[in-house]
Amino acid sequence: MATGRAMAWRRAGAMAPASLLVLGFLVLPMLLMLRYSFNSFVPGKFMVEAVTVENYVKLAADPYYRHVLGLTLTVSISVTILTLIVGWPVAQFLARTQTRHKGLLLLAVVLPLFVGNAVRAAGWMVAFGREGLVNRLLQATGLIDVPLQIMFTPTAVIIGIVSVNLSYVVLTLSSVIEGIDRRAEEAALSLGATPFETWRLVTLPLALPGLLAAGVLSFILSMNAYATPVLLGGPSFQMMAPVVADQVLQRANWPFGASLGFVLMLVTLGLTAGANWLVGRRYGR
Amino acid sequence: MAALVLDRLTKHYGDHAAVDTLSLTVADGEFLVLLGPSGCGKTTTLRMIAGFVEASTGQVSLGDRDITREPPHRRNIGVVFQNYALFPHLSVFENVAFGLRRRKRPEAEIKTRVARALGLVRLDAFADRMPKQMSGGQQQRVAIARALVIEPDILLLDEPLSALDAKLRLEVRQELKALQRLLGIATILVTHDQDEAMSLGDRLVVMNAGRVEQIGSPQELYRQPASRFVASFIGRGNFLEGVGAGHRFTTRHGWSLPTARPVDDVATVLIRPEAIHLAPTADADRVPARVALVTYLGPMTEVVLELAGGDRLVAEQASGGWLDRVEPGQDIGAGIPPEAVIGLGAEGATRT
Repeated sequence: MATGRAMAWRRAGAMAPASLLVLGFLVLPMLLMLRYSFNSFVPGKFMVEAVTVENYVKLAADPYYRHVLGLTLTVSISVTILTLIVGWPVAQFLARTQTRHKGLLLLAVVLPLFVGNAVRAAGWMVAFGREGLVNRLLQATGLIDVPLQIMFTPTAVIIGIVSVNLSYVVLTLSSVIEGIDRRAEEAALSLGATPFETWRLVTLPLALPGLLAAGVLSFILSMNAYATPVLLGGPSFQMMAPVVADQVLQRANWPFGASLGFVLMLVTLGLTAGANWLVGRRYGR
Repeated sequence: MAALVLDRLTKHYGDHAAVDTLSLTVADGEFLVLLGPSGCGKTTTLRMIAGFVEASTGQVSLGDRDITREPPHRRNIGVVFQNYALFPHLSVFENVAFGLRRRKRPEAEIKTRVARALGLVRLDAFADRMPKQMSGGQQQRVAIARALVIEPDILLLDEPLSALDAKLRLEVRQELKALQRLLGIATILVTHDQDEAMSLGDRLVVMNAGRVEQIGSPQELYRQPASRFVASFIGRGNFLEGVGAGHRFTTRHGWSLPTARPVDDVATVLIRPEAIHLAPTADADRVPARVALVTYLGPMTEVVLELAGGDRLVAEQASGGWLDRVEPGQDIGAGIPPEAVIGLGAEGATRT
């Protein structure tokens, strides 16, 4: 039997590789980026060592960037709500099914992740085009006469990101729903709650921590989405991640790119923490 | 009027009948126990009564209401589960109030009725606690209060005591019985524990492989079991195989013993261990028997006997006197009164 101290050392030892990786390849570069964001950018000379908040001021003052951040938030919140609504029934089915082929069904949920985001977005481009699958189908069934403009609209981007995030959300939710005691739901039914009341008063509150986790995951993924908004949104549809990349890669403006990146991270973190706090306060966990 | 009637209730899962044409009547205020090994269909029966499982065929009636196709939330049945199944996110008060709130009772009425229900299970002081702050026994009492507060037409208990430790189990058992008597509510309890069944039930229904093996009072089932299955499930016994004719049964080993009832066509008889009277010597009423094993159990002493022909019997008698000094290898006398020899029907053939 190992003593408590030996056990603690062993645990620390086991965690060391991951901790060092995170420290070396995530925390240090981010600190470097944070430092960059206070440097100044001089055209022709690129980055100049300085301690200035001019990048953050520019970001706050320029309506363009405020618009980009707002659009990113709108898309991310829409995507999050959509994935939770669309994902729940699938997750509940997966969690509660008695079939022997559950492994196969889980694989089917994960399958979309086998295709990279860029490839998948390319697929959506084919589907969403004026002569694409969706328009052909809608015209063939007589629902529309003139092809719809789907490509390069927020709808296309939202559908694109939802299709990526859905796998994560369904997996997270189904493991949460699996953990909910069915007897508690049956008790509610026996006490006179309708199936919907049972879901609203028992299942949903018990699933809330998991719902929050799935929502946060989907939100973070959308806030940082790159390939999908670029390919499906087109040049005039600007979300944060592509704008950060553009500053750093195209304009070589590292200080401003870094400050954009930090604002993106802080907003994501802030909203996530806020949601956590709200749910915690509402349900006293 | 009967509180509950099951009429040829059947549940098929594929080709397998989990419950097979089960008919049963529960009287008003009666405490009925469904007893049987796991997989005998007792829990499926309970779940069909509650409405969690749909019956394949047959009918469930509550009073004069046919509820076979009624969804569970319209049945007005109280259910207590093995794992308590409290709502972990609600306080004890809100757990108990849940059913009343669904019935849209006024707030003042909810307050008084919840308080009364918590008083019944002696948890008045715990209304503001969360379930996880309570012990298993307390949680189960909350679950009982929650099921009773809606004044259900019948109370269903699904192995309610098996998650509790032994000492607590006895306590909650007695409390449950007193409460059921006090409220006079028709109750069905499902269990695989014969002690629990015997101590709680007015009537016991012994189930085996989806069918009723026998229905009767604890005394009837113990004294007059219909089959070897019932006899071995309720209490312990010596089973002797052989041939019966008139008032005499002859074992395979050639031992012939008189019986009080005719045992024609009976192939197995049961003799309860405590029905055998031991004496230091054999006489006209006692056959000679050799002691093979002695186990002292405190108030009782258990003696394994070997008879001359090769039959073996387990006997149990109050300790004390000569019995405390008996040793293996000793020859003693074993008296078996004719009324203690109970003829059993062939497996599953006899049903009441």
